[in-house]
Amino acid sequence: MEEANLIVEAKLGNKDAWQKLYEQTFTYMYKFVYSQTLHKEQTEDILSESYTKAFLNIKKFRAESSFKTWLYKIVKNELFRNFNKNKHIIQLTEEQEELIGKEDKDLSEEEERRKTKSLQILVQNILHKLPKVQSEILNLRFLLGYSIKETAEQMGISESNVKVIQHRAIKNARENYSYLLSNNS
Amino acid sequence: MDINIMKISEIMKKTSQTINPSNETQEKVWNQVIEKTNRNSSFLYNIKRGFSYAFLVVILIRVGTLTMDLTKSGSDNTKTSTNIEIPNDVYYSDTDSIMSNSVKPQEDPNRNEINSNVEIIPIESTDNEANRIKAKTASINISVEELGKNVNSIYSLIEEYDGYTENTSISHSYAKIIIRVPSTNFDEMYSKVRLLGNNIISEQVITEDKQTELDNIQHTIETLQAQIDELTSQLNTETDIYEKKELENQIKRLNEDIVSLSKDKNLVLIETSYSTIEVFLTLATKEQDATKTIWIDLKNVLNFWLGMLVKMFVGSIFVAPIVGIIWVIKKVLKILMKK
Repeated sequence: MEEANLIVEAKLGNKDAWQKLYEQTFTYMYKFVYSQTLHKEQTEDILSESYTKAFLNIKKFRAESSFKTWLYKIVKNELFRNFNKNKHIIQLTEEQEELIGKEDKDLSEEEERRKTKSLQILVQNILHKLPKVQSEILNLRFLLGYSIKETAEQMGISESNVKVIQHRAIKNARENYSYLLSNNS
Repeated sequence: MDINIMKISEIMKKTSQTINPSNETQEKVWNQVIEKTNRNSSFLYNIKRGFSYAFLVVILIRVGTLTMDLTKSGSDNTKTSTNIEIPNDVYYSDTDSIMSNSVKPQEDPNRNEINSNVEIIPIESTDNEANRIKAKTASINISVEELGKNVNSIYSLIEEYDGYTENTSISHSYAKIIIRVPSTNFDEMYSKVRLLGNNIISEQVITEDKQTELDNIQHTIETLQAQIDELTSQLNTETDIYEKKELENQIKRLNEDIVSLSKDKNLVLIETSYSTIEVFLTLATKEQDATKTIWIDLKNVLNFWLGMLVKMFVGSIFVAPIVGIIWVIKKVLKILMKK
């Protein structure tokens, strides 16, 4: 079933349509929220709250953008609301910094698992040190895999603006983590 | 490892690949969503929300009323707050009437005095001021738990201080007693009346200085008397019978004036020899007080918002034509653009 039909059905209160919309978007939203919180339970709380709000207010959705875009805004608001209350940023340890610099082929299975976690922490650190707009662009572009055009639509800005902000975000991220990367180069 | 656009994107993409919710997580969140959605659309939940909003409205009303009260009290600096310490003195206001509170009541921690209207401007009392003749009128509204007991207490006080009851009206929830008491006993008696009941709802003491009026009368009498003396001496030396008659008439008129002024002086003295205390006893339980207060608050807030609505309506009368014109211009421009 197409998204438009699912939305019409969801507006009529069809729970199957809700579930399909949920399944289509859940992984994206989970990645977005988890990358910021790095906390499973918190992520689940934020998502359950966001989806509840979305389904209770689906009648207000006017299909001017895609459902994912509309939902993303709800999730983003809920994330900031919740995360501001329970902010928990994990700091990278020296050991984790070392692991990030190592090649995957030199790592044992356990070390590889720890490196994955370290990378998640690094991403969280990078995103939280950037201004909101810049971190959002990096999120959309590289974490959720949006194109420049999709990112521009999602954020309601022009494509050239997206490029400029992305450039600044990367530059800032580099400045923030140059010490870490130079140590491991 | 060198950092560049690719590296950051690579790190993030790699991280993205590692963040994958399990089916269990997906199912768990879905169940939570369904549960929350059902709960939020349930009748009971909406009732609860309704109560929460009602509670919020009550709090807003209270805050609004408090703000209004504060604004009012802020505009009038001479008014005292509820917990004022009342000095044992007589005070003069800027106006001709003198507001006073004569005797400080005994401190009682359980006593809650509200809306005390006593205007207090202390001055140093001198012997002259203490001896000045004043007419005092007090009005006090006291909240009591037992009406009969307090009415009897007032009667005992009247007897104790040689006063008398001018007027009494008692109903099942309310009593009004107008007392006349010798001015010399006023302060002491009033201080004892203030200690009756649970709390003072309102009170006002007006002290009118009659000394100036008496001095003026006395001065006029003395002037007239001097004139009479002068005229009498003229009368004794006057030989012309017509002039004598005229002088006699003048003396007679002046004597009449003196008699009249003396009567006035006596009236003032009688008036000031007794002071009036109006005592209102209100039988009010705490619940009744609370209901009354909320009702008054609600009325004030409704009046306030009604006033705002009227202002907005009047404002919209002026704004509506401008908005209409802008809307028409917009429509015309749109049509022209299409063409």
